[in-house]
Amino acid sequence: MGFYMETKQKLRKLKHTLYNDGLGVIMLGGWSVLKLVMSVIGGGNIFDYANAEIDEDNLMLVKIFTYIFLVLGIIIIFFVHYYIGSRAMRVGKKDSKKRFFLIPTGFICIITLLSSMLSIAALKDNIDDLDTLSISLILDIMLSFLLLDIIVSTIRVGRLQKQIIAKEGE
Amino acid sequence: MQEDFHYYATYCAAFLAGYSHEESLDIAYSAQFVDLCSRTFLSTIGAPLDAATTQLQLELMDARTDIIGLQDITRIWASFHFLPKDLYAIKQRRTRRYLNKYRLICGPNGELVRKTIELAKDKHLQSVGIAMHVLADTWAHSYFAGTPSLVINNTDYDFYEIFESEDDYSERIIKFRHSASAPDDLDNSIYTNSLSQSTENSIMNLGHGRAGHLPDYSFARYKYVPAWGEYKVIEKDNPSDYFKAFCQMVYAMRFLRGEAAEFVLDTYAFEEVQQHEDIIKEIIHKRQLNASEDWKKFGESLSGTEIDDFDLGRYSEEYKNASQDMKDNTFLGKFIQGAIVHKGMVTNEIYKSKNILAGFSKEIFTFKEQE
Repeated sequence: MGFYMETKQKLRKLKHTLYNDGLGVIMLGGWSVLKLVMSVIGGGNIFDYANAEIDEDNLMLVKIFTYIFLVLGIIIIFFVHYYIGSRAMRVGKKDSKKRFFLIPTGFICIITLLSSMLSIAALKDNIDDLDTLSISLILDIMLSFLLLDIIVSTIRVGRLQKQIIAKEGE
Repeated sequence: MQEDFHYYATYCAAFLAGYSHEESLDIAYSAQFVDLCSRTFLSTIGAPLDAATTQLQLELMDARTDIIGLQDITRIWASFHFLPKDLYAIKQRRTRRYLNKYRLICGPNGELVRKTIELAKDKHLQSVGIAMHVLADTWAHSYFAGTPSLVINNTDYDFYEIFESEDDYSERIIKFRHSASAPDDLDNSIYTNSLSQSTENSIMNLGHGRAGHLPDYSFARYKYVPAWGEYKVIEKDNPSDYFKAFCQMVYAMRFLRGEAAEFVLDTYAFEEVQQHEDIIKEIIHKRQLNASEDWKKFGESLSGTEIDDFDLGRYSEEYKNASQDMKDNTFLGKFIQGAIVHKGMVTNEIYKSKNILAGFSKEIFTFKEQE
């Protein structure tokens, strides 16, 4: 098979991968939201996060602010994942040339990897929670892999498209 | 393929091969009947359900997709509509499970085509018709398999229709929709296809459902990325394939009439068809949903006799009214025998290749031994 056809074949495969990676990131955005909710509401007193002195006078106010920040956190986390995923899907399906989304992708990837390392460290001290921590670790690793794959595949797609344009120009 | 080719074009090919008008009608009827002989129909006439050569949409909706159900579906569709090209095809680094499906991919000029034609030798005209249907479909339904499989039969949104003339070449992206009642819009390349289903064995992934009716339009030229192709683009040239299918049918029927010593694959009756080539190519290239009128006109000009329109119930009463020991001598009785024999042959060949997707098979005797 000629170089041109092989390149187009590789490009098709990478774009298909990008599309699926983007879809995966959007879905795993739901997992990140769930993690936040579980860690704030599920583990201990929610007001520990408020880090404020609570008395009868300001109890309602603290509750309101805590929940507001929780909702904001959910929206931001989901929005970031949706943004990254949808941009990756656009590159995969519609040949989008926009690459700014790679910056938040890299950022979230680093955070997720750090979170994974913390989970591993936490495993030593929380053997009772082995099942939940393991699952959390697996999903975090999966998300990191998808984000990394989006970065690598997007760069490769760009390179292959340039090669094809150069070949078509000959 | 659809009625225009299976009925009318097969009639024309049979006549050009040397059959009489009546014989050509019987062959054409049988060829078209393969697309309609469902279990529902057979139960209405009290015929053995094993002879089913197709499944209606409603039957497929109710079909099981466990291993037993899949084997039943595969036996019918791989035998009559998607004859496998190479049951021993090799693809590196693939599991046995994948290879079983990959080896069912349909294509022309496979070993099974030769066996199909030879099986119809010295048999009733109904067997000839069945063989012609199967042969023709190997051209139209190439690159799809007669088993429900996402990893083989799926396609993606990269689907283009090709328009090429002597001076011009262009491509238009094909839009698929899921509206069984709306006719395909040829002017805007909007076609109906089956719903995308991510389940491997969903009925939506049977045959060429994901490509809609495109393989059945003789005028269509298109390119797409099949799921089995590792992201390679396949270009399908239906006008060329349909013409070869027609010429190969003429050649095959000349062999079946005894005018050729053997049936050789990749051989076509181009010389016999030559004087009609322009008309045939005009019909094939004409952009229309159904070419029956044109083929019928051509057939009537060949034979000088009117061709009866296809009537599903034409021979039903004869079969129903015949006594039990005389049913095999009726038109439908002969078709049923031919269908069961052909299905048995294909199922056996698939089983012999160590592929269980068409179920188990035991070879009791061959026809040569019986004689």
